[in-house]
Amino acid sequence: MAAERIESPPQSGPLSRANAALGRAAGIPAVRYAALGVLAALVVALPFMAGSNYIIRVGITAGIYIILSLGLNIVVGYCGLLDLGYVAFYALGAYVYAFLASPHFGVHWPWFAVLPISIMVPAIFGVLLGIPVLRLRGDYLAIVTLGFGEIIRLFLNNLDRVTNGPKGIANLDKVNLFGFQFSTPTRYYYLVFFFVLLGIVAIRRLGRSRIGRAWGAIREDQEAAKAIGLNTHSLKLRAFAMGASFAGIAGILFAGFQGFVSPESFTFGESVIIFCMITLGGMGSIPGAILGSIILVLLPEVLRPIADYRMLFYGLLLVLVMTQRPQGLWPSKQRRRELVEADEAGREQ
Amino acid sequence: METLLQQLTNGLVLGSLYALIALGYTMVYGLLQLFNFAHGELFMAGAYVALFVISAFGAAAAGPIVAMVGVMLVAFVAAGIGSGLLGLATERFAYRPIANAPRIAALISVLGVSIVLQNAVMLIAGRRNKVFPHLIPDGKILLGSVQITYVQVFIILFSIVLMVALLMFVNRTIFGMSIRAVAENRDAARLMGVNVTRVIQLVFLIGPALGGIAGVMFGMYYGTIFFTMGFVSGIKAFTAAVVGGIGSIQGAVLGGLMLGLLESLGAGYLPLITGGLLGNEYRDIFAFAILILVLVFKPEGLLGGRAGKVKV
Amino acid sequence: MGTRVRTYAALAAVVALFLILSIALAACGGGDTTTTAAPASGTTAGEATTTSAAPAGPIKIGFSGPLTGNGAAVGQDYLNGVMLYLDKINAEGGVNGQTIEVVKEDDLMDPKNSTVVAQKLVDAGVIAVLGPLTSGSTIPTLNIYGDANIAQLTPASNPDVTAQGFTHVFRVDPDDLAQGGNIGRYCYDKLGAKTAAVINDKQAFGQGVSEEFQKAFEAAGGTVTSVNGITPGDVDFRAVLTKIKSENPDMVYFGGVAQEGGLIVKQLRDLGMEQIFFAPDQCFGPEFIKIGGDATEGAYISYQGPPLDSTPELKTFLEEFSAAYGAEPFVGQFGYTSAQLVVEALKTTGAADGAAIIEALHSGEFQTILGPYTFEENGAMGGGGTIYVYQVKDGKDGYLEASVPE
Repeated sequence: MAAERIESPPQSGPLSRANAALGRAAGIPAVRYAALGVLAALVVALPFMAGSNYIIRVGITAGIYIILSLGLNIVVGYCGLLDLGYVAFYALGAYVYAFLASPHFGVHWPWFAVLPISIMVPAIFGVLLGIPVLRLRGDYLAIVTLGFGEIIRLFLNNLDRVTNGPKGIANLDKVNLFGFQFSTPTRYYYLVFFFVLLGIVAIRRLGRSRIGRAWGAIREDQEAAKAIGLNTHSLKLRAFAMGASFAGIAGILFAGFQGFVSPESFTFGESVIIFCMITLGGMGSIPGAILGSIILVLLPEVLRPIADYRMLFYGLLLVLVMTQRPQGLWPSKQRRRELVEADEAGREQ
Repeated sequence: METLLQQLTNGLVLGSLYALIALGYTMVYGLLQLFNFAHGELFMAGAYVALFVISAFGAAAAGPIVAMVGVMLVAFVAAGIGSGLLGLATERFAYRPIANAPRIAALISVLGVSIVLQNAVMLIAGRRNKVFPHLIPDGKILLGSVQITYVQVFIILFSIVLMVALLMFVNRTIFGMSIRAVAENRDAARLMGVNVTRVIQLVFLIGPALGGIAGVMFGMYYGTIFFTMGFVSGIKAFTAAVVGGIGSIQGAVLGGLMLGLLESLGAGYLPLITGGLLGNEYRDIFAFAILILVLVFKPEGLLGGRAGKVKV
Repeated sequence: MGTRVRTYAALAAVVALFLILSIALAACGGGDTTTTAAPASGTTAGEATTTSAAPAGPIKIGFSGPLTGNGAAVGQDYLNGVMLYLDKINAEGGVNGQTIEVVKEDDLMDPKNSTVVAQKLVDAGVIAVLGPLTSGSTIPTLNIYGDANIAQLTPASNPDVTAQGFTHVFRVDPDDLAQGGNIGRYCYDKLGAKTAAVINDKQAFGQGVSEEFQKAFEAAGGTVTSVNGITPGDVDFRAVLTKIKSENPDMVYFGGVAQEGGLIVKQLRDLGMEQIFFAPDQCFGPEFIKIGGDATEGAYISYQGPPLDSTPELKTFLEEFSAAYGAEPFVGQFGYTSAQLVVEALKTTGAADGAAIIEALHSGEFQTILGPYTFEENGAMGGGGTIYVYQVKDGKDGYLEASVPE
């Protein structure tokens, strides 16, 4: 098949004009830097502006979801692999911490020692799953990964001798770094955002590196990528593994924060939510993933009175974004370039 | 031995249900190479539509046989139309605008539709289970010590009828021919004068309609329907379609029956096989595991060959 | 190569700077309203910290429960019971001269939300909290409420809730140990069942209660032929039931909720199995009977509460509740009772102070519509609590008898 691009369907009307305006605004460097600056200041100062721990907790939740979105973005946005079972890696990262730092097995490793394991275990699972599965076509891959996510959750729930089953594992050790206790929400907030920052830097570098471009090639046209000599299978595995490691980090942060893990936190619904975040924000775009996460973490808090309608809203969001503005709210520069070219090419005909 | 026979019977009925749902998946996939995520929810919605319609008939559902049959037919028609229309709406609003975009966009879009459908039904009809009338007189047949209820017999027989009807439709009618043509080669079909858009709409009507009818049968069999019934059944039915050979109608049937049998036998004998380590609660893992194995080792499925075309 | 080294060095510098800055900022103490000198994992509640001393204004009591989502019906009913009593008290002028204000929060029965809600309620200055309602959503909140010395009254029946070493939590109904254990003995002694097959839904409640049933049943002399798990959301249980049929037990015990319970009992009878069927409190009420239909006839259900017409107080409560909310309660009586307990404790201490209420609840005996209440040291109901056995007759739960703990 010829190279396909996600294009905005041609249309007129207020929606497309808003589209265009958004695109133009995001294009002006001054606007972007100003926005970034304000955002950064807000992020750092949040705990002091917040009147209560509640807001800081919301901030921590947002940070964890940002890490998840960044990770899923690598798999879906950069490499174009539809992974619907991403939540499994998140669960694995969290349960690793629960196994190694709680009364459950009586093992109490220090946090910095568990962290690399929380990163590696999901990555290893990602590779193991990927080896047979990443050869499959998009939709098959989607179902299989969905199945994998469910399998992990079912095992976590049913293997109670190991995982304590549906009761989950409680009383996880508080996070302690060389004597410094992350025992208050404020301290934990900064811990989380340290990793968010790390994640952003890592992804930016990845995106611009050779491997990032190779992923882009696979996303655009896998056959052509193979034809120019790229080892698509190995590249896809690496994307999967990287995405899984991000989820692992999010997992250990989540476990340390909540102090408790149980299978019901890791349902297919979670995968859907993370998906919504990157779809809304813009697949393949870092600011997009961040924006999407923040919006979809704040919205349920703001919309608590109509919480029943939340998932309905998410579903509509997916459909609307994909049919009206598939590049999301804040598409990556690369995508915008592609789209502008595609648009102009289209208009010339 | 009687236990085994009973398990086989249960499995056969379960498999028939899976097969019916799988038909809808396989038709859409054969035509568009799109896994219609929303199909499971269309199956569920059909059951609700039917329940809504026949609740107007009240006592007739439990009355004399003739009345019962009448109500049952109404239920099937209502479900077929309801799911069919929803399928058409899905095609129009969630698929057609992005028909030419990369597949990932369409997949996410129908994923969104499935979530919308599920939650819409939940908000409209409520979270609690709804009672669904049997529509078939209660009663059992005894074959040895194997108990088969009338409903079970009906499901097996009616499923066979539907599958045969679908096969005949696809093979012997003009409509069927146009579907096969578009599945074979869309541009060539267009050049031959086939209205491709209409064909796609047709498939998005028939597939979901069959799903809706399966939803009514589900309600009759289990006596209850609930807004989450589409999710797991949907994935299992898709597994069935893939195992049998996606795009192939016989494949969907074969896959469905196989999955039903494997699941029943597996659930029943899993503790025995694994020495008590794994129990009935791992049953769903069975289905997923089979899916992964088939896709990895024989992605065309059992009856597949020309992957992804609606074929006989 | 050189560029890469420089870039990494720059990166490391930025990271280090950020770390130093954030630690410095955090150490200067920012934004916390309640701080803890966090003890190591899993110890008893930390030292008493800032509790809301009696403000001049209203006394604040928190409610945490599912008001939307899957548990909404239960949560709303419970809250209705709470409000019925507290509205009455406020109409009479409040407690100790202060009115009571209820801070209601929706936790969706989900630990992710209940912990956020817990923080919110602590920040709002409540002196007692009613809820959360499920064990899964209660356990993670224990240290939040515990650290703030807020009395926590919950119906969460999993024994783990009171086994964590906290002293601020109180359970207002018998726990799973009591329910499962009590019924295990009951089935052997009173119903004469010698063998039982157990099915549970692998969830916190269902598994907990069926494990206790098994322990007690076997201790009394019975034999459990098999333990089988199901997954909630499944509809077809014929496979596992057929297997159980081949074991020919005297009874089947199901630990789980009404949706699966109804389907199981239906398919059980469809398969021609005539065993005694016993289910715990989650199957009490019309839902189970609705889903199971005629097959539920004769099924035994255990429940933590007596029939609502068995005492004059309960009859009055039933009338008031029905008049106020247009429907009969199914868990509202527990909400009402938990509100009663808090108010009675307030009257005893005279001070609107979390620590004082906790103290009072531990040391007193209180009269409620569900009878007299005392609490053990860990917060469990004094003496374990009575379990009430019902049997479905003519499409309704008919009261059989009370099963008193040994």
